[in-house]
Amino acid sequence: MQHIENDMDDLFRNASEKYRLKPAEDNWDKIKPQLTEKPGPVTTNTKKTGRLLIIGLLIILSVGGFIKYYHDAAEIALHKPLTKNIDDKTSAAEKKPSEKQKSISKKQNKQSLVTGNEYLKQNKFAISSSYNTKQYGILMVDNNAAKELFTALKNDTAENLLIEKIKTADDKSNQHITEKMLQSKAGIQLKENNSINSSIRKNKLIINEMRQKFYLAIIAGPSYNQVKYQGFEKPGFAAGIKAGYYLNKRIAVEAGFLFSKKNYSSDGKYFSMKHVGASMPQGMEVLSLKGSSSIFEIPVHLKYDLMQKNKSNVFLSAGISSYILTNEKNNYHTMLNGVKQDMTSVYKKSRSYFAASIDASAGYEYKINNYNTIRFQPYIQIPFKGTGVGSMPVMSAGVHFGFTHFTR
Amino acid sequence: MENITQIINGCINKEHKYQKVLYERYRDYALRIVFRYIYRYDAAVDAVNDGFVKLFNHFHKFEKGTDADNEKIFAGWMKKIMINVSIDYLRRSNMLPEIGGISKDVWELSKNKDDADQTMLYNDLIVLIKELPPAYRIVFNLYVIDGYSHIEIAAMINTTAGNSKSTLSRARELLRKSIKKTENASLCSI
Repeated sequence: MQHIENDMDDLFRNASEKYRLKPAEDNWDKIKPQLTEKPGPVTTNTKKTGRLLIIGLLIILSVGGFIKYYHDAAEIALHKPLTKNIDDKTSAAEKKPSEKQKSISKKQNKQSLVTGNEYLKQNKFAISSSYNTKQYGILMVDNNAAKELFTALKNDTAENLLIEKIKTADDKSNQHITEKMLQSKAGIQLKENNSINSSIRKNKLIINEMRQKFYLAIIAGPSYNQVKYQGFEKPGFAAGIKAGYYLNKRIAVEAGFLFSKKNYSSDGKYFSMKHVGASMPQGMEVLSLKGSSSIFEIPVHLKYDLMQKNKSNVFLSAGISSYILTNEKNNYHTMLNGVKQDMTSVYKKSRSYFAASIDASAGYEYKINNYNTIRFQPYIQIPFKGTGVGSMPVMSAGVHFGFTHFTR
Repeated sequence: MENITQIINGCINKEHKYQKVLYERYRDYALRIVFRYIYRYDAAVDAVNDGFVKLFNHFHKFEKGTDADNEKIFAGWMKKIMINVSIDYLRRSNMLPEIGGISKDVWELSKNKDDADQTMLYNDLIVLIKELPPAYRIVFNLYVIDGYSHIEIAAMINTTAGNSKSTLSRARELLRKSIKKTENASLCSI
């Protein structure tokens, strides 16, 4: 193999020495005006470089200070200990919460300081559930303890809790909630406790707990692409993964990484010669072309769950996609000096396009179980800028079929 | 006729008379180098002009040797400038593969009949190099014909030596296929 290569190399070396080219034209008149009489001044970019360095340093210091400020300001009061015993008899009216806490702890026979999370786990009971949430109730005895728990749970992000309301037992406007809770198992206990200690004021903390917020999805589906409403070519496809995070009960942010193949055709007037003109013979005109592109897409979307039922969900989604175009193949129908000819060219150099398209979709999700769903999501991608060597605006429409898994 | 050292000294002193002589003496040599890199003849001619402008404007950097060596030293220095100008041109056009054939007008025909076939073969081989994708063409020319090492090539085109080796391997593979295709085509035409 090596000797074949060496022979081939010798062949080309020989050719490079002995091939004949027509004599070059005398272009001295074009060259002479560009020649300097004396060596040109060597300009230094020291001042410019210095200014840039100072600006860069200022930016770094500002960002660093900013981060430090917010880090210090964002100390989370996690795991503030609370007393476990809910059967406290002491009234919360006269004393401050901290003093109250101390008096409770002194009076209790069995003391165990637990975190808000642990308390919740031990004392919550389910009320209802919907597509994204489960509703829990917590029986509290003491107003101050309830407030402390409320604060702790608000700051305790590990539990993925959304605390909607805190009610007191003697709030007449929420009597119906009290009755509902009384129907539950814990409610029965409340009745029992009531009979034992009717003077105890009880608070209820109703918590809406979201199911797992973070999810991964595998999606795939066909796509149809066209340039300036000139009609579709054969379908392409898109497939990849998406990750999502629910910001609240209904809104999630999704980001993904997909591989797509787009097929398109166009009149030559929509094909820009700006980048590719130098690689074509002078005077060549592109009459039309058919092409295909291989693209890595990076979508970033906001998803809104419009209609949530127990097992299904209708959602809307919108956002932008950025592209990394890795391969483009174009079949050109061209004209040069009155002669039409077909030419093909393949471009393998990667090009990236930030926010290349605006995406919109609507979809339907069906819950298989608590952790998995399947989705059907028709979408449209409207080009924000031209892509490819000819900077053509390619619009896409298609469907994504997906399987979503929520983390435990 | 001036000797090369005289011409070089004149060019260092920015004397147009000597610059013109040097240009006329070496423009064909320069074009043959550049034409291996740049696909289109007219673009290659423009690149040669740019190369000479660069050469004359930086002649003060040329390191003279003895009278006997100056021609060789100058040829090597000029070759390097022309290669760099060619690579810059291809970079500016984003290394996009060119389309359209090469006009037959660019070739000089051999007056000797015996040489004609051989010359055509050499021309065809140069066309095969020119038909490589620009990135492959650069590496093949630099390594095989101009004798640069992979480390030097990596520095010139801002890549790694490993990438240069794999690019060369792919270029050779493409050339092998092209040669085989050409051979099959000529067999079929017999």
